[in-house]
Amino acid sequence: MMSRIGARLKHAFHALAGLKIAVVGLVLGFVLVLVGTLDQVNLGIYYTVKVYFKSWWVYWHGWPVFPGGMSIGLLLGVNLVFAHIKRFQWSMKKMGIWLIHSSLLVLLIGGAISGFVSQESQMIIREGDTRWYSESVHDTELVVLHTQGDTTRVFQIDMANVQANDSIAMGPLVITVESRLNNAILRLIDDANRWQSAQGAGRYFSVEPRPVDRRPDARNHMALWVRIHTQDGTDLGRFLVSSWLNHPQWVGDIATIALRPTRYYYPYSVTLMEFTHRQHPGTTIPSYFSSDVIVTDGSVRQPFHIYMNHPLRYQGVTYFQASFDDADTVSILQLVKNPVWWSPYFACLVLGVGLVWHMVLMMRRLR
Amino acid sequence: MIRWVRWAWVLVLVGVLVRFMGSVPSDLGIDWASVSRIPVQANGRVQPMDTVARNALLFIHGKQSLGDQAAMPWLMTVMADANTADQLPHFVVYHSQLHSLLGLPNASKHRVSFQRIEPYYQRLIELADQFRTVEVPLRDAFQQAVIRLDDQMQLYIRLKNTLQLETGAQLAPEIAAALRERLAYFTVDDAVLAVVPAYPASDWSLVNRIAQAQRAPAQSRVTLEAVLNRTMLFYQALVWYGLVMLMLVASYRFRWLSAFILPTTVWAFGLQTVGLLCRMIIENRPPVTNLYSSAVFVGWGVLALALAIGPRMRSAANRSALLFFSLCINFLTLIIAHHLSIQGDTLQMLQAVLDTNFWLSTHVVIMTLGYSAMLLAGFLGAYYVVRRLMDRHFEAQASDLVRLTLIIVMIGLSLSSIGTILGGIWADQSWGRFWGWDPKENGALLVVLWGAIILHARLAGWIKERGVMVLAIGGNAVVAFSWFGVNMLGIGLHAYGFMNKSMGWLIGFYLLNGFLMYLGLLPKRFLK
Repeated sequence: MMSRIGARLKHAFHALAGLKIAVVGLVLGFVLVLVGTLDQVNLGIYYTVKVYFKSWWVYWHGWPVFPGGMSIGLLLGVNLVFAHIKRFQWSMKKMGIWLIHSSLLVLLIGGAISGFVSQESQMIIREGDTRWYSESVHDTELVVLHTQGDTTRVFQIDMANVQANDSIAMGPLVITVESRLNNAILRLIDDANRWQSAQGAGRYFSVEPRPVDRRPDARNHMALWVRIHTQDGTDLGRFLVSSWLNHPQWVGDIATIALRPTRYYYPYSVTLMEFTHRQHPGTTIPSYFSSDVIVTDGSVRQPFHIYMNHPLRYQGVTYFQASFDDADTVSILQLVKNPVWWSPYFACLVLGVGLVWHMVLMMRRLR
Repeated sequence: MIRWVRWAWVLVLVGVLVRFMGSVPSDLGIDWASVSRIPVQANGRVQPMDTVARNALLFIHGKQSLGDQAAMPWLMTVMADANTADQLPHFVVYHSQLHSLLGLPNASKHRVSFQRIEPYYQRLIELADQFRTVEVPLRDAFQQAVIRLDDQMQLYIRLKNTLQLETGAQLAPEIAAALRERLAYFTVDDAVLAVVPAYPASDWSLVNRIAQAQRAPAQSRVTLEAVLNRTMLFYQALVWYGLVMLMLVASYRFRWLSAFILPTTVWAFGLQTVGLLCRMIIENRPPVTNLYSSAVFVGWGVLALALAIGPRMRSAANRSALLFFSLCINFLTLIIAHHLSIQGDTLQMLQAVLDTNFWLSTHVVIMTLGYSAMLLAGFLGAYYVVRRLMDRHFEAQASDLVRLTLIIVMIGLSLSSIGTILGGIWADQSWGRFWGWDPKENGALLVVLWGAIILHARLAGWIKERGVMVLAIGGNAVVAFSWFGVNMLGIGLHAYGFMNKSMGWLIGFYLLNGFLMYLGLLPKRFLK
């Protein structure tokens, strides 16, 4: 009995380590990348990545019709690992091939890890201003700011985790989501039509739903109708929150509430001294972007010059010059926190060594 | 005997080069060689006036000469003698709807002058402004034609107002100067402005004195560019490559022709190499900086690869096939390059993110050579499939060819993988992520995956020799998608090489390769 299971396991191992699985994985990967690229015309890059590449299955009308990027990546990864175990020989002849494939493994694993743990956000700073947080481009958070004496406590929840009809306890408040629109615009309404039932900003606006804009640089503005109670059950009324409303609104006089791009806070601050935007003479082709910033960390103040292809790496966060706004007075920095950023560099080195090794051997054999 | 004829042929090749180098327009007894060399500041860089003339005429007229008038005399007429220039039929109008808009009779195309368009210009501007609000990929042929004509008119008007302000009204000098500065297409030393009264007044000696005083020094990038312009090295190479292909075909019948094949190929390859080197010196950049130069370089890479591998091959027939198809690719890519050059300055300044010679010389060059190798393998695959149809015994004797193709695929795969990873590292340094599933990145990944599929399917025994060749043909389509196809999707950070025409050609190329793959799959009993 045991031996039969053993034999089956051995069989499965050999199959998983085999070239045929590799070919299947590569072909599936090819089809997925091709379709995923073409579909970017409809979906935009951000949603294509979600649907095709950072998913286990690609769904079509609710049916899983094709393995997603993560399934195929896992298949190829397992195949690579098993093939390494099965075929590895410590010989000069195989060394090049072995290095080439290990570099791919490093790349795959590094890519998978950074897919899960890397965090992208933007820091939008006006010249002379200081920021100690960055904001997400796609994610929205609901926050309650509760000030007691000198300290303000921030309670936040990511809207990805909130459904309509959820009740969430946030500090002194309990918030019940009555309705949620993922993209909406607010329109000022005149006196006669004023919502009598709403409190705060909700009295002055009507909310119109808009289709979710999937273009890569589009920003969708969420709007929520919420009913708020205190912890002991007192009804404070119905409120409208939206990322259109720039300032937090008071709920009773207990706390303020806001819906805003998800913020990431840092234990240091960044001050933009100067943003530079140069063009090739007589044209509008940009030739140079840069931001001169000062990072203030405790008592240490360090100046940095961030420009194209030369990011600033500070405490595990990398700052890239991404864009600019408002007649060159606002710099938009892209922040990426990726603990395995070095993996492609390492993989490239290993791949290079492996390729050269293999080429030299082949050349010898040809001669 | 044949040795002497061969030397004579080499003399002919050199003679043609010398003839091209000295090909300066001779109109009116003006020293056009000096006029061409006058440095001007346009498109963000200093360039010879000749480049402005050629690119402008190419943009407006679609050719580098107007009838028998060369570009430089044409530009001089436009800038200094607007009344004459307004009557020159240099605008080419294609679309029938545009013809009726301009009150032209129905015909496939018209060559019309500024004077002919002027009464309708206001209407044209209004339409063009409307159409510009339509997103680029959604514009139809008429909208494109209107916008194109409006762009051409704007360029023409700016050129007319570069050296003098073309207006009947009397303006205060400082207002006139400011207005001219805004309209001028390029800036140039004020001493050059004096040609305006001299040229229409037929005072050629004054024009010559100004040109000779203002021309760039003999050893300068500007002069090098002016010489490169008239030498047309890539055009010469294109013609010689075409001729060698004919020679290769004809040499099956006329054996003696084969003596001329290698010298001509090497000569043309040398011209192309020198052309690329000159561009590198002028730009102070690695060889590939835009879509145009990538087309020239891919062809160059294919031929370089063939010249490197060819001598190692035992079979003479395969050697000829390798040479023929590498020439064929080079010929096609040079034609593509020519069509890309119509879009504007081929030595244009680079966007900020591309301003790094390190990544341009590693990632871009390696990627482009990867395309070269995959294309060469693909064309050899096509050759295999077609030969197999004509000669049913070919399959049995082609193992040498298949082995060669596999080696080329391996080279292509190696280059594409290393190039793609380097590209990821560049992306990590400029945009903060190694991989963003941007279309151009995906295109590169598709090339890598396709190469890996060919090699692993062969190793797994799922395909044999014919399978390798059929899949190699597919590599052509994959490279074309990665190189041009993704640019036409018009999305992503890499979309700076945008083009909206030529979609039909690209689809035709996909279909052709699909058809060839289908032919390769036909079982033996369908063969002759």
